[in-house]
Amino acid sequence: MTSYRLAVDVGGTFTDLVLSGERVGRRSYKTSSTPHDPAEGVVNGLRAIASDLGIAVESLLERTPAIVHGTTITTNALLTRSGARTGLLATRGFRDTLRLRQGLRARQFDSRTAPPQPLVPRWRVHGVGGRFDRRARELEPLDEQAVVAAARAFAHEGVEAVAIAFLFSFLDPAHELRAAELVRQELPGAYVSLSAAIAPEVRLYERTSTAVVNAYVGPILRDYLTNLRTRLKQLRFGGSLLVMQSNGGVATPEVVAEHAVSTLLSGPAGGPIASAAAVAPLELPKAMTIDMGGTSFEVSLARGGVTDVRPGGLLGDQAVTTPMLDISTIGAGGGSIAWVTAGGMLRVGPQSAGASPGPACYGRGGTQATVTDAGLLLGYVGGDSFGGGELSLARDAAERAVDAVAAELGIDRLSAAAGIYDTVNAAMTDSLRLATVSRGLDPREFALVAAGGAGPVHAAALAADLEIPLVVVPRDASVLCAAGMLVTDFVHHGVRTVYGRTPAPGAASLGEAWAELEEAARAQLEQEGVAPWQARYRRSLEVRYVGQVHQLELDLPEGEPVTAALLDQTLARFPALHRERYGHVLDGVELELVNVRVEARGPAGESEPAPPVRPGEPPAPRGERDAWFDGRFAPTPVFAGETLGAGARLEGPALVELRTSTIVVPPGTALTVAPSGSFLLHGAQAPLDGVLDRLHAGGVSV
Amino acid sequence: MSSTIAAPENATAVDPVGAAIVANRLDAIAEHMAETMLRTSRSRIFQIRDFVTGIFDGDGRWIATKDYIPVLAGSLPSAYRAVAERFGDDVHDGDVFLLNDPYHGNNHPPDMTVLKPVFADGELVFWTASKGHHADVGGGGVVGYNPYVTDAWEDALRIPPVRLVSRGVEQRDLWDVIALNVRVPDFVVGDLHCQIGAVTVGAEQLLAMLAKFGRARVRAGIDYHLEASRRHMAREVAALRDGVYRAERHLDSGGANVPGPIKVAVEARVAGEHVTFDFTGSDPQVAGYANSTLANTVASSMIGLFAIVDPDVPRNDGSLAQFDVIAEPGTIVHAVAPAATTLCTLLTCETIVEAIWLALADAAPRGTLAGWGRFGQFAEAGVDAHTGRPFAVISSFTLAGSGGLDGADGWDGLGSPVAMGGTQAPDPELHELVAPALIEQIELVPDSAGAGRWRGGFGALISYRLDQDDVTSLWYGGGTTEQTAPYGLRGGLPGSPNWGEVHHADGRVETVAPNTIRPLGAGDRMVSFMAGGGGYGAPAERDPEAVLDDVRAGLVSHAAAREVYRVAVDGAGGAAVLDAAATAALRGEPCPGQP
Repeated sequence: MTSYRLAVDVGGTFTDLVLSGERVGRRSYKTSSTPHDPAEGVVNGLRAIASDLGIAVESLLERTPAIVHGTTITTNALLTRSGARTGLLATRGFRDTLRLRQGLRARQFDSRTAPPQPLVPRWRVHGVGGRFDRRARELEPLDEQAVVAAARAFAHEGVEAVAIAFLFSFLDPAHELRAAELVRQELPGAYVSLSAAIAPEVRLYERTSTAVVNAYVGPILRDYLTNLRTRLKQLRFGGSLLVMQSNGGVATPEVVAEHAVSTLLSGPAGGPIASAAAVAPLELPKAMTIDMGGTSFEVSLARGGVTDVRPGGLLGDQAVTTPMLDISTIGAGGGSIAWVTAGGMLRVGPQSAGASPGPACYGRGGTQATVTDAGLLLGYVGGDSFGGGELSLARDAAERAVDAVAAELGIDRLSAAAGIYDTVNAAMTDSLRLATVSRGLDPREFALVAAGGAGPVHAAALAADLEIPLVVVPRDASVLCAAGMLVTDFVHHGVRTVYGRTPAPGAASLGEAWAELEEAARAQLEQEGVAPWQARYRRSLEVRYVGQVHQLELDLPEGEPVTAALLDQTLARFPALHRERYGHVLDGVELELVNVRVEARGPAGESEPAPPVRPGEPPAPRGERDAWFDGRFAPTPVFAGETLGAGARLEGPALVELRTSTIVVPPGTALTVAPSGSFLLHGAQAPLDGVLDRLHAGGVSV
Repeated sequence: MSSTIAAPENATAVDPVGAAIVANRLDAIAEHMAETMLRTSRSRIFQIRDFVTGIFDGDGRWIATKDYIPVLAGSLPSAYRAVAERFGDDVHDGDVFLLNDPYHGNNHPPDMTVLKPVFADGELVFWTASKGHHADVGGGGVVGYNPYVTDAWEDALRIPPVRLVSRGVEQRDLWDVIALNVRVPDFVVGDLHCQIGAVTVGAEQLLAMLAKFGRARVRAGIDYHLEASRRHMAREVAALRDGVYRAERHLDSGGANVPGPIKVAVEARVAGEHVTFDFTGSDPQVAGYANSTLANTVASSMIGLFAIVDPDVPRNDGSLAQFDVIAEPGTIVHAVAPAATTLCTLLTCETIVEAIWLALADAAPRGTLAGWGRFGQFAEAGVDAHTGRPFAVISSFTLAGSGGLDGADGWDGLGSPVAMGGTQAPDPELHELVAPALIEQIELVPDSAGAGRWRGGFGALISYRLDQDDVTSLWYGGGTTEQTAPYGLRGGLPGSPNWGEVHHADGRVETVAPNTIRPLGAGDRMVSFMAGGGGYGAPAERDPEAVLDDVRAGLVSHAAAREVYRVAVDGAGGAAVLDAAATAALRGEPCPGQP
């Protein structure tokens, strides 16, 4: 009997599903999301697959041992402020840690905007006595009566989730643990989130914020997963449901329900993974993935097939310290609005028309010129083929909108349209350059992987500006994130702060810390069914020069026992890494250890590789339209992407229409279809083999 | 400051798209320089973002900046001019210049300004700049602030424009002089390297931009960008009512032995698209450390103006052309050598900014900003008894409230207008790990915000207790009196003042005078009340629901709600509710539900 593997990515607008299995190969599906009850959209999608296969949904699920699930449920709860009613227990005297926001304001000169509101109103923040100091000495015992009183006040208010974040709990969590016990007694069924468990790192603000965000979205995720599993069980699904985490790995519902904060990038995290899988057959050492949708532009970097992970960041306006794929976002998408400052400067974004009203050409009431409107007037985006023909674009509305910008700038319509396209491209290359150069990397050594509805429209122009020799558009770019979920591992991160300990920890105590973190991760993996021999552990150490605030991460060789010699050998790599990143070293300055980390990884099941694409007929255009290149319109052939077989090659100017996007192939650029089906853009005069050789030579040290 | 802009006759004849791309790229490069500094600095002062970066073109026009501390950025042009005047054509590829002297283009001595000329094909095409507050620059006091000094030599090591690196070679002898004259040479030398790293990164990227776009296109783009910035500011200034407006604000003191109040007077003359800030009538300079150099007064005036216009107006030579500063030499706002200046980027800057906001309050149709909390805080130095390492911390939990304005409340704990929310308050855990003190409280103070239809932001109380003896403690800044606390605007009430207390281990409680130093020991507790921002508009016009929110939060008392806001609230915390009938009676309005 055929066995299937399924990935489901529930986004704001669409639910993407990808099925993989013998005989069926790999098939992708899109259904509308059902925000009032996202599980319904999942079930609708499953029914669509079953009907496509000509079987009952129950028999589909009986033959599916694992479903990997990406969800935006926690992200939406956070962004729309619709999370659980949350209370916070803080150390007495520190009620306002979140409200004070470290004294920062992002737009310094903007006094008219209200400050971001904390997720927990001040009256639900209770300070309780009990204090550890910087050397983990208990100065004052926990005031248990105050905890109980706070918990009763929470009960009275109908609080559903409680975050607990005490000073220095990363050194000793005893007070947080005891307070949790008391809270659970008073508030049975409440979701309890401990800062020492969720983010055991120094920095009160970030740790508190992470615990609060976790509490705020925790009950939402827990209830959703319960609902989904019940429905799946009703449809006779007996396999395992795996949830995609921000760190690019999966975990079981039991594990993520406790660490809900680790699913905030659950949806987008599939993208870089799929991108890495798409370029894997090309064996490219460095790839930069751009995912440009309606409102945002996301960038991530992968080296040696591994996407960079960062220890935390801002999600919405909330600080979160939980390891996540290093995906940076700028507000530039197809819906980004072009406007002119009072002084006459053209700007594009960060305001976006979003999906509603959307660009002017959507004809849904938008009147401001957007990037998509410019693309339509320039001929890059087809008026009647947009979004697979589901939406017909209104050229006259786009013209009116772009004309308004042109009038303000004193230029003609097409110059304005081209200006919008060039300006948004420049903003994107600025962010790509910052993303690479600030990490000591050279963008020219990267391949650019383009996804999202707008990514392929802009990719060639971005690559040209950054002198990137190769663009890869994956065949299943429209369901990129879901496709990535088919090829993920179980991944768990553990961290312990060792900074500030005196005397500085030596090999023995560091070895102990790593061993404990590994043990905790091993237990999690075992619970998820990973055999001990399948688990892999990456140990690392975060180090900086004494007094610096930012640290660099050094990996330890796998499996070797932690000895003084091994530590010395590891630390000896610090100056070179510092020079690579920042251009200089500080001779004679001591190093200080900040955090020890463990990344544990175990296979989550094998997926059928995407089957190769068959060679097809020589490319034949299905039509022609005028498109704007080098300052004028040129008649440009239009190809249907799905008709292009492996080995097909065509030269720009050309437009290749995919189901949800268009690849713009400018003059001087060639497009070649790889055996895997990916579309490769490269210089028409540059033989593809030579380009690949050059990128392979760029090398990577992992 | 006025400066000539090569304004094209018909600016749109230049490619506006190319200009947008060049301008974006310049901003990205300035930001990248700042990012480099954030990540590589050694001292905690840089890490709380007490620094700026900037870019000038080959003609010395200021074209881009990343200004975490706007008061530092506003004097980058004068630092550039000091180097250009001193070295003229004697500027070469691979050179890096340094200065810190307030009488050579700087605001005040703790900020080291590093400038690097950038050459393309032998031609000077750009300058990159980095300016930041160093952990020590000699002199006495704590973290570079000595309230007892009477002149610039006591204040700090004075460095005129000098060549720190000559054609790529570090001038070791100069570095040795600097290292020997500061208490923490590791930090100072490390941070100078960090600044050189930033200006070098900036230079490389500017050259890459030139190579890609071509010299002519970049030049045209910069011209267009500066002209667009000028026009943008011109539109904003034109929206102010023409006229002559006057205001005065005061410094609490000019130093330990220079009692206040010290007056800053401004006459703002708004004429069409241009405004002049004339400080004639301000008090004479003092034999203390609060004297403002002209560069600092210009930079402070810039904050005063930019804070009340469209936040999207770029800060560069183009927009600066729409205002002038007039200040008589020898006054508190235009100190002449050898007056000491260290405090000028804080207290004097704030006083200047407040005077401008207050003066323009009647010129701007919707008013300007009510007063923000000034900087007023403790700082400590000593040798950590546990680690044996010297420590020096500015405990600048910049947590005073900002002022209200028409349409928006002030922000809680935003800090002083010197930084406009650009500096980060230290994390209490990190703070305890580097300083021998136990932080007991950092919490907002109820009723500290100035009441108003749009109230000020709340200020915080910060309390910490020393773990060891032999600590030198400074309280510096101001905003401690009724006269210097954040003012209210258009019927709004003033915010609470800054206030510092020492609760000695033996039980004595001492209110500290601003700008004084004292030795402290184990068990002594320092308590700072940070000011609340001033309110805007009559408190009785505030939306009762907004008052209820503050009462629920425990930040406005029931009594203040009733007596100041004329709002009656029953119950406390989440259970608090409005008493609509009593509120209507308090406000003299008809009872709700009655005709």
